[in-house]
Amino acid sequence: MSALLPVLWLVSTVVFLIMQVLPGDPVQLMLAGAEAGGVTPERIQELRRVMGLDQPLHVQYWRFVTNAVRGDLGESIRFRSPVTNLVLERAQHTLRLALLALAVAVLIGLPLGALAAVRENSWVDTVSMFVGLLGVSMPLFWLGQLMIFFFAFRLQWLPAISGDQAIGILMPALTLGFVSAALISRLTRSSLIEALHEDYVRTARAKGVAFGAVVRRHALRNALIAVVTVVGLQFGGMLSGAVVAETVFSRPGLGSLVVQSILWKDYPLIQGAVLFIATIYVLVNLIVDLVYARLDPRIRYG
Amino acid sequence: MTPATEARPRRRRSPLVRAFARNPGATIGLCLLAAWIVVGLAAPWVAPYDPTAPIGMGRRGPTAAHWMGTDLLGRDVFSRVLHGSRISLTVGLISVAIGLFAGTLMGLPAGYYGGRVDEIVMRFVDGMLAFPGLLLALVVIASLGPGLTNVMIAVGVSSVPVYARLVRGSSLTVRAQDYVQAARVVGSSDGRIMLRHILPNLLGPVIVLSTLQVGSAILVGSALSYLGMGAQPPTPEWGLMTAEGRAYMANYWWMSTFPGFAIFSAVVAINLMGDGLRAALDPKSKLR
Repeated sequence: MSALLPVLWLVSTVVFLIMQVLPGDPVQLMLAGAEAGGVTPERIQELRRVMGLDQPLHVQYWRFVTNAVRGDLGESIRFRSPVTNLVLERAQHTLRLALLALAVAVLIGLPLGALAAVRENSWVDTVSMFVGLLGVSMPLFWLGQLMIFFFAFRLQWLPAISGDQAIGILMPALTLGFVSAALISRLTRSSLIEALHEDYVRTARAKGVAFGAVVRRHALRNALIAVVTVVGLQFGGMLSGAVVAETVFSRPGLGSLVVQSILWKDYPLIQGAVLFIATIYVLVNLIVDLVYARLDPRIRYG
Repeated sequence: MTPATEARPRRRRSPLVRAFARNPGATIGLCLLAAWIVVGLAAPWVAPYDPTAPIGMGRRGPTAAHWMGTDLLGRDVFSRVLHGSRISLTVGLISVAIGLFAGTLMGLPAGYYGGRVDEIVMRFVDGMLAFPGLLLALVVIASLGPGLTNVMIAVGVSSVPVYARLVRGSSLTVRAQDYVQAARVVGSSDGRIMLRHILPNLLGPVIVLSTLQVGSAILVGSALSYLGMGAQPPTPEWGLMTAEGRAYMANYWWMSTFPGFAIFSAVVAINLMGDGLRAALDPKSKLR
């Protein structure tokens, strides 16, 4: 827990600095980008005052951090509404997508990896290694477009634009999930193979326990400890994958919000969305660490 | 030179060559990558058409004259894909170089000195790792602005934590070796020990990681261009080309499918080769 605060402080400082290293005047850039041409000297002055950009740097920084702690992330230039509301509203879409994609990843990756380990060097193993290679080598956006082409245009099973319909979440979740499934199956395979070579597996086999039972009760349980961590960390991969997936499938969410706000040069919105995603990610990682310690009694955090 | 070595009948192949020869995947990857490199270097001479000039009717499917069809503006997709190899490989190499350099600069002293230096560097790395994957690159783009050069910087910066951690971890173990102690006793300076004694011993893991990182740098770089933050039209960049064809997938599938497949095949080649290198240089690795 004590490591959490310095990290969050660093994150917020980096996010604050986004606007400082910017080449050129952020206010002019923002007005040109987000308000499409309405750049009058009065509006520039007004915005500079409202955002506190006429203040010295340390005052701005203090204001940014103290406001962020209180949940005030400023106001979006484009939407003219509080960033916090915009981010929270989009967050639920991304959260739903990330959780469903995670479920897809586990449902494909875990059995595939376990099967490959149990039947090491068989055709199942080859297939799982191949899927793993595809997953880590495939551009997410390309996979998404191919899915749209086949499932929406050729087979016409699913809508091409996912929008707000419940069914629309399916393709993005499959796309995102597939990439993580590859990683999960790779890791499940290698840690299960390792576990199967342990002494306790040989002991169990020697006293006459059936192979299937040994795998289920002994080897898999130990192998899963490492897998759980990776599944947890994959949540972060989902958040970053959502940036691409939400754009490909034209879905509302945090990812597409970040992309759009960068293209619009809506700096308060960029800062707020990035800060929010990083905070969620850090919190999830902390939870994963704690769960890890609970699963494996050998690990204790001081 | 002793007579024994002169008398040796044939040259022994290095373990690396032997490991590659035994690994068909790595060999395939190497050949495929070599092909993309040749294509990238020779693109202006082998591409049948100008990659940025409209040469005929737009939106035509693959034919004998245009193997991958033409895009919206009537440019030859095949010529654009060939030219794209040069861009993507450059993005991959330059961003890895940036990440490797900065990561080593942070990780080497952290591992060597330990203590306070290590503490500060690693806290900083933790801070960078708080931005999941693409997000760190997006943060850099947000502050530098879009463009291909900034993509390389962004992808490089976002891979710094990976290198810093690897270099730190490895130099921690190398630091304890006898020859490092010996160098210190002889009176070598810290800088000399780090550069001459520790760094060369990190080469194996660093080469393996860097190879695989070229693949992921190409993926992240093309994703940034896909999102409109990297290469700008009319650059024949694979990610950008995939994005340009996105709205026309229903009727003109070739505009996006071929550039996307180019990214995929280049990254598969690099990953196959990287896995082969890892198996050869690091026999104890877990993910094989």
